[in-house]
Amino acid sequence: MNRLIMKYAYPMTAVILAIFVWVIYRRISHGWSDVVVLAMAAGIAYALGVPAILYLWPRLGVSGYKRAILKRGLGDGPIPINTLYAVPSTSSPGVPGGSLMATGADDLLYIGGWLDLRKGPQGSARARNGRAVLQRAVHRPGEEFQFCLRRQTHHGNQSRRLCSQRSRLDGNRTERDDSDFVTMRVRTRTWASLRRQWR
Amino acid sequence: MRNVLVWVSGSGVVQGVIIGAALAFLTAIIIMNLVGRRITTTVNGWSAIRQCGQPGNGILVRAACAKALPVVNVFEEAAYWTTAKDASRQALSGRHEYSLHFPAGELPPSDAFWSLTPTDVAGYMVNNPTHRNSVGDRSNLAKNVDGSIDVYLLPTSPGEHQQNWLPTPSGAFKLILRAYLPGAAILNGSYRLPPVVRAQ
Repeated sequence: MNRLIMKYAYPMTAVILAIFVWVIYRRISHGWSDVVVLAMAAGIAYALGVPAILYLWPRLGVSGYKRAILKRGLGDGPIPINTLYAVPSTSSPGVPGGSLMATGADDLLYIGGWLDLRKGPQGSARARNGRAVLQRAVHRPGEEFQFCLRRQTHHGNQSRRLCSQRSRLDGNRTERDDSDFVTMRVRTRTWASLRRQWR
Repeated sequence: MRNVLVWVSGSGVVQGVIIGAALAFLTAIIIMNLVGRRITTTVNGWSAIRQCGQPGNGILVRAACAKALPVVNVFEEAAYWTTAKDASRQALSGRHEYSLHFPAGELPPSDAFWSLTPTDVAGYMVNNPTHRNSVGDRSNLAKNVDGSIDVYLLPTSPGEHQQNWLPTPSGAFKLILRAYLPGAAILNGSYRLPPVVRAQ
């Protein structure tokens, strides 16, 4: 659907505008007085709508990602809060339905999840079989942090550890920034190296 | 109450709100596109936005970034360039053959890696028989005698330059070049990607 909207944005917009013109024309044909109320309502909705959409657009996008992660996941069911999920394959044009996994780079392993740090730094998150476990996250502004993951096998054993680069959160962040969408990218050469990294 | 509802439905209020909201949406899209264009730098046909993800960005820049590059990395971590046009400003198409000429030592400098991926105009990768969907610093690209590197962009095999061939979709397409942990020359703006040149 998203792909169709992106591809046919102009024709779809033209159809919608044509419908609006037809509606207004019908109103005018009943007399100009019928248009006044419509114009006032449209003007108020327009004046309030433009700034509201501009303000809310980034938030709606992030909310959409959060909902998608927590309810649908990245191909293997919902991903609980504070759990990072490693997509088991790289992006490829062969994925069905033109999903997001057809838009990335085919030489990266994507890892994503939703962190909720309202209760402070998380020492570790409860693991689920086959999922990467968040080992440490610090969210105080200016403090250095690093995400480390362990891939837990289906037998419950923990194996190879994988850490992000050391980084520092921006000092402008406030304490209200306690919920984060986290993505990581792991460069992978081949399927063999991909399997080695996660087994 | 019923009379009020009848008046509202017949007076044009509902239609007006729908029309106003839809026009507001279109206007917001246009504003985001204009702001996105203002903060986009284009060199040799390659466009990049350096400003996204910065905490000091205002409402308009944040909205424009969220529309153009949702949940994007900061430029210092991952630099993205896109182009949908060749050096003569014609749209890229699988009906034509193109090349990308990197002079010796002028591959994208990065402390991690870089890759070049063709997609359809909506940004989705397109299947090709070779399953080669990108080239990059690990592709063992063959060098010319002078040390420069040519990447050949066309839908069918170029024959002798197979090693440097990146299959393109048969229709209109665009190119995305990603450099992870971009080097100083990229960050200070002195590095320039070469233009996509259409073969004569």
